[in-house]
Amino acid sequence: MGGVTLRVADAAVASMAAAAARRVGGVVGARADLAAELVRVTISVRFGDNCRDVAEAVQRGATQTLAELAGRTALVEVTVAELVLR
Amino acid sequence: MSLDDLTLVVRAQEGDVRAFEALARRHQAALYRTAVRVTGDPAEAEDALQEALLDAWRHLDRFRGDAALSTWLYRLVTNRCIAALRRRRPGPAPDAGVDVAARDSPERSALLDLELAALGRAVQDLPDNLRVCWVLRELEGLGYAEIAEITGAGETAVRGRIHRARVQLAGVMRAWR
Amino acid sequence: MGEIAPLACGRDAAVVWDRAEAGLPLDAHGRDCPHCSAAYAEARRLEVAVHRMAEEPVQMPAQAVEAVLGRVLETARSRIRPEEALRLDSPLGPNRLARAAAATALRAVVDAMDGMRARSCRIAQPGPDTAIDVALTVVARFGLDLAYATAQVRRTVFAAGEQALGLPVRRVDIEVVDLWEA
Repeated sequence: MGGVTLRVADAAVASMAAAAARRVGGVVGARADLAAELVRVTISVRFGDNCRDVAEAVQRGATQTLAELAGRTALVEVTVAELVLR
Repeated sequence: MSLDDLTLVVRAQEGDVRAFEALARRHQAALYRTAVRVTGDPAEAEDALQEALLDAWRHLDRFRGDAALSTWLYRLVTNRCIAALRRRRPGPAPDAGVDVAARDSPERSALLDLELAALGRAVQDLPDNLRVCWVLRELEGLGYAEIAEITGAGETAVRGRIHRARVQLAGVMRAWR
Repeated sequence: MGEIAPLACGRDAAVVWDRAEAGLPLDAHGRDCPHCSAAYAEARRLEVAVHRMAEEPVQMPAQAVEAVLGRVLETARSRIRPEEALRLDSPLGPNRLARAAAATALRAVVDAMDGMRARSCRIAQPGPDTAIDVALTVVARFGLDLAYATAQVRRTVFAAGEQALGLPVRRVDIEVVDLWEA
């Protein structure tokens, strides 16, 4: 006993997820929100990069980040809202 | 690449925000100008423009390609202007709001500026329903049929309103001279 | 209401006024009639001032235009409803691609082809897998070899779906709805 209990607010979880998303190649913009244990990340993707692959990479990155930084096992759903042309 | 209104409308109806942006950019100047001339207030006109564009986005599915898009947009902005006018507390109408740029002017030019300002006040003093039709005809150059579509009034009523507006304005300007 | 009182000579005042506004001269009656002439002269005087008013520029400063458009477009872009999204495969659970974004991208791909412009782009994802059916309406340049061009569009949309969207494309239907002259 004597460990530190880490509590991370929902807004912080969302921020971490969005930051993780932005580090993925092909992502042009990202925002996230947390609703009932589901982290929803909304991204804009550079057109030409494969949306399915980029979305999956964002899921992996966000899940890993949340596990490492917040100790959370999160379910992440990515929505590609916009494809940025040119 | 410049696309025609109908192509942009169909795309926007299917959720293409960039197409909607192109339409908004194309038509915003005419809508704002109309709103300023109808309300006499640049701030209210800016609000009316913003609300009309939001109305357009939300209700694009109601626009059928048989009429001109500009007619439909004019209708949205005049509806917003009329709502703003109804919300106004009764009292003197605001100054015409259109700043005539100061000019180093000879006497004649100064007199013309005064005349323009007097006409502007006279237009704002018109009853709202007369002013709407008059602005659309005299300043936007629209036809009676189109104005009837925009206002929802019959063509005969539109002609009557414009004529009464002209008569009232002519009377004010005659007295001013 | 809406009746226009006639001039003392019985003529329709609005007709006289419309002629004055259009810069047309009075007819034979009007030229000799003091009522019509007076109404016409008054109308001409007012119309001169009104034309000047119509010529006055009325504009928002460019910054204000951008601010208004920015607010409107942000609202237009917010929250995507379930029926507006296509499913993307992932071993970590399904992801989504906004249908409108996918359609915009496919339209851009068509637009990049010589002589064709996309109008409507409808995407259906009947399931159970993520494969899509695309239905396009296009406008084409007059004189274009339509059979060849539509075959090219079809190939390009198949490729774009697979490579850029990450969705297998099952079918691409193309309808040429209009032509334009170069």
